[in-house]
Amino acid sequence: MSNRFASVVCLLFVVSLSGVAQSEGPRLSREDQRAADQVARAYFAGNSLLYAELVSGWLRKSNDARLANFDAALTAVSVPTTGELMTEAHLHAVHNGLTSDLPSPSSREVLVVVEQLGSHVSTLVRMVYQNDLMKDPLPDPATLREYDDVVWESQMLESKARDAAQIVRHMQLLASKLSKTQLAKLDESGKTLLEETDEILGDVEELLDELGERQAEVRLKRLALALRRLQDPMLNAEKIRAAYTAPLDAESLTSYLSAAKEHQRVFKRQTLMNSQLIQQVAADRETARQLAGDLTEKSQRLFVGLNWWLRGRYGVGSEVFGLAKSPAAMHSMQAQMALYMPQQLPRPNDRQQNDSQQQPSYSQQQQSPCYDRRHHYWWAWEDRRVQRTTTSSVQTNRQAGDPNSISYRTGRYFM
Amino acid sequence: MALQSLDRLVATASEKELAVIDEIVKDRDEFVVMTNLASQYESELLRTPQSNNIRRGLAWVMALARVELGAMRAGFTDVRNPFELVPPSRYEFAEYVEIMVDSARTHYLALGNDPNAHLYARWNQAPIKPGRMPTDAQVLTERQAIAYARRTVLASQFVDAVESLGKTQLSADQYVQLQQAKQHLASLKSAIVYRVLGLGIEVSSGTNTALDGGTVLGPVTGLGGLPPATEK
Repeated sequence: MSNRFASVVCLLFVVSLSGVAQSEGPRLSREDQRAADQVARAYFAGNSLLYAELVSGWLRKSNDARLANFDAALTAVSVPTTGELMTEAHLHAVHNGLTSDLPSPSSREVLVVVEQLGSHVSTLVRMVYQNDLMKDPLPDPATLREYDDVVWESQMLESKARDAAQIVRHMQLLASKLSKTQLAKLDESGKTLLEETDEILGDVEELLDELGERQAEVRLKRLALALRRLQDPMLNAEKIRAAYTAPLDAESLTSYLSAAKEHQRVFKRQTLMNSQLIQQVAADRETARQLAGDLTEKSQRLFVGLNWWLRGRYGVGSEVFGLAKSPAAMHSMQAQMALYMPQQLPRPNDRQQNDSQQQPSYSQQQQSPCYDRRHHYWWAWEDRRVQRTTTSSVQTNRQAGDPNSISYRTGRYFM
Repeated sequence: MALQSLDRLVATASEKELAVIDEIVKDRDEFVVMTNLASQYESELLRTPQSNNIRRGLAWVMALARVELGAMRAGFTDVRNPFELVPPSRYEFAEYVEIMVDSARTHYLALGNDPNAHLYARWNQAPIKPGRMPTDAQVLTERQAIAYARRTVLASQFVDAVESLGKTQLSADQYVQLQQAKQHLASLKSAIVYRVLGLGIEVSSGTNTALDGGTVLGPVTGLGGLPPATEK
């Protein structure tokens, strides 16, 4: 144990660019060296607003040559480049409603950030379009249990599409802060990207519309299946699921169809064109209520409880390596509810089994859940550094712009 | 929030309903709870990997939520007996006890495996003036010491809660071992709080703080195999 443990220990370091950057990386001026050091410290402390402020300030007075050296120095100590850092900071601010806390951007910053945000949006949109839910025929599971996965995934897709729309709106906001002189300083690709944000937003909203119709159709199918299951005289798992999903789907459909009616929306999907659909859903809801009886309330207690449990177990906050939410959660409902959740329902991995069997796959795969027990880690957040290490080690850094990523960072505690 | 709903469910559902509900939870991988986490901190010689650390069912889900909630109270409030504020129901009592014991063992054994904890522990072994660290401990910062104080207090809270849960079930030998673990943790806490951080007045100077010896929580290993204290 000790050798492997010791080798892990050797990997840990208190971040300092001094020495590393000068002996192995590019030569930086003393001023840039100090700035890079501060940025790295803020990054490893997980303080995105601070490193955004530092990088933003530095970008104002830099040029291309200095930027390349600065990025190389950061990369040499496993810190993302300035572009990646700023993108991550902007994404964090967008997700947590903190965009007004970001420093006012320079034209250079806008260029650096907008390109990466644009790329992030493309990735999100592509992920949604490639999902089976966006293809015909729609998934048609035989059981309500199987529907759990379909509905979960559809909600994750919706979250991605809404995220993409939010990011494009943020890009528009960034562009609006630039004067004509600053806009003129952007290169052609930057200008084009900013000019096209209206069009991109239109595409994303169209995607959201299509996804919404498909989600509604899935819920209609699930509601029909739930009604059949509720007619079963025997108590079984499917009946309990039906007692929960029937009113849930009916509520969601009623709200969706009412909003569509109010906005005189024309549906593209045949199933939703039925003008009596709202009444039909209301009737189904009443039938389900009568069939389920007190099972409705009990099933709600079960599944609402399990949903909160899932959030606690797999949800990753934006602060302290996922252990905490943004400080904005103290006064904002949006920030209080915001959590990074896995796209697919996760399967926990057995750490001891993998350790004892010396499976190399364990150290290569992400641990699920991120924290086997949260109380094993949060005592360390005074220092905002958490390292999980036993006889084998798991540590990964978030790749900026990776929509599936979850963040852990290096530190110097042992657990 | 999870427990609010699930507690009411368990209180109102019939046995037959609970049995079907349990099947629903067991059927989904995402509700799996891993146990025996402490074994990863035992030495490889002592470690006895279990063929199956996977637990499924509503009782395990509720027990884990209750332990995490109690731990939050232990770490972020100054209430006495924080775990007793959210006691388990009869439905998940056995599972709760197993997770509590495993958690207490994990915290205790992980401290025993942590070279930093050993550095702090040394402060009680020699007459060192508060505020003056041993040479090889100078890399430890005050902020880190605060974190370790919090960690030690949390571990102690778990051990106290296990003792409280097992009052009527512990053998005399187990009781002695549990007291030994409590003493080690109290001594470590004393070293960090009074000697390293220089807070308050030390009530008792503590005895040997070395985290060694076997306890009911499991043998603390790693003293012989730990890397040199300066290695971080």
